[in-house]
Amino acid sequence: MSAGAGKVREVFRGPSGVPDRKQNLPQLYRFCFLMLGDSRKALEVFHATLREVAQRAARGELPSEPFWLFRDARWRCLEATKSDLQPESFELDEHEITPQSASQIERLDPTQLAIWISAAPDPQRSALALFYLDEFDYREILDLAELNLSELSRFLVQGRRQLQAWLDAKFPQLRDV
Amino acid sequence: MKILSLMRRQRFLLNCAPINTDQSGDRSMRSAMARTDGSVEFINQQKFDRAVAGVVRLIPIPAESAEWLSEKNLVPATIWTWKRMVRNPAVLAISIAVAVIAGVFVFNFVSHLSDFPGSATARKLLSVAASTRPVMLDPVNAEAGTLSDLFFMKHGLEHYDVPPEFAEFGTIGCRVFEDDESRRIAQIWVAEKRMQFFLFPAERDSKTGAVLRFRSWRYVHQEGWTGAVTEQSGICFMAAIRGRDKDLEPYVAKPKE
Repeated sequence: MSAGAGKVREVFRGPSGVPDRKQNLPQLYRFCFLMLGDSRKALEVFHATLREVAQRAARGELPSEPFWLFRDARWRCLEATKSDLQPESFELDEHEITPQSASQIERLDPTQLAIWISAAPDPQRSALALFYLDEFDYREILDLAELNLSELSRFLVQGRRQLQAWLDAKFPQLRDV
Repeated sequence: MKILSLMRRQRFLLNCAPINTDQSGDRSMRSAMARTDGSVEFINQQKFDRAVAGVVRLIPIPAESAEWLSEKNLVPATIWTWKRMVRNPAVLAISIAVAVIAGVFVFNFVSHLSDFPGSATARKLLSVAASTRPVMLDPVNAEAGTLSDLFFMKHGLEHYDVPPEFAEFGTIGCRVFEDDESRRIAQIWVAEKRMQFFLFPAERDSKTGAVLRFRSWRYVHQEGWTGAVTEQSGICFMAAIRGRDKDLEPYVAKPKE
């Protein structure tokens, strides 16, 4: 793996050594984690994606399109969960966001948040994962998740309200502080 | 209707507003965010999103991935190496094309190095020699040097003299014909190594009409045939043989230039 890792680092950093924002590797792992909600699975997809990158780089066949690494990882995540139990399609509770939401969220463990996001049906799952990475602007998310603006808007609004409902159920004592 | 549509789009944009307000590079997004005028709803949304993004940033990177992400032993990026550039199909194709063009130029240059006035005609006559059969010539049994008189007396061809080097060879036949430029050519077939001799007018300057002379013997090659050509009194003589220069060298008086 050493040679592969070196090759990937070589590919994703310019002569200055500054990581390319479009192919930020720690953020790529976090994306996999948010999509899968399981660190072992996320690591497998992350490594599989980077191995593919190293092989392509060795063959001089790296795609020139932006964010292709995240696009590739997204499909791998979807593929990895294809055989898993899929979330049932029922209406989740939705609550209005309140000024107290931030303090509720701060009590969350990253793994809990990742499990919650990964339980959402795709493409809402991809939309939430990409949006909360705070790595891409909305146009880039539209491109990566293959959505239009109204769909992305709907998924984010719904996601916020559903997450708020879950937070209210999880931390009821903070609800009306 | 248009206003409603615009308002709806602004609502959509606000729902996707960047978590970090510094990233609102898109003009329509900036405009939508400016119109919120500090609404409580939008402020709550921003606080909510920032808090979630803050939790996401806390996701630990596993130690197993450290090697992929390490800053140490970073290989300096060398995007264009010579090796990689040479393997580029476009560069490869251009290199091959340039090499072929250069090859053609070199071939033409080298093949014209030995050119001399009349060399084009001499090459054409080598093709004639290759296709000539004995029945096409009038049988003549004499020494080649004596045919000058025949050419003068019978055909009015002046100075169509066989050089002394080839004058004593016994002939099998001869003929006089006109080429595609109506120049009169004398052709002699001799028994010696089945050589053929050609006598034809030397090339002249197109402006002055003066004969373009050249010194000594010159060699031309065509279709496996070799000709040794010399010029005298405005008439070129060529001894043609199926073979190479070395087959003619023993016959010519001086070494080739």
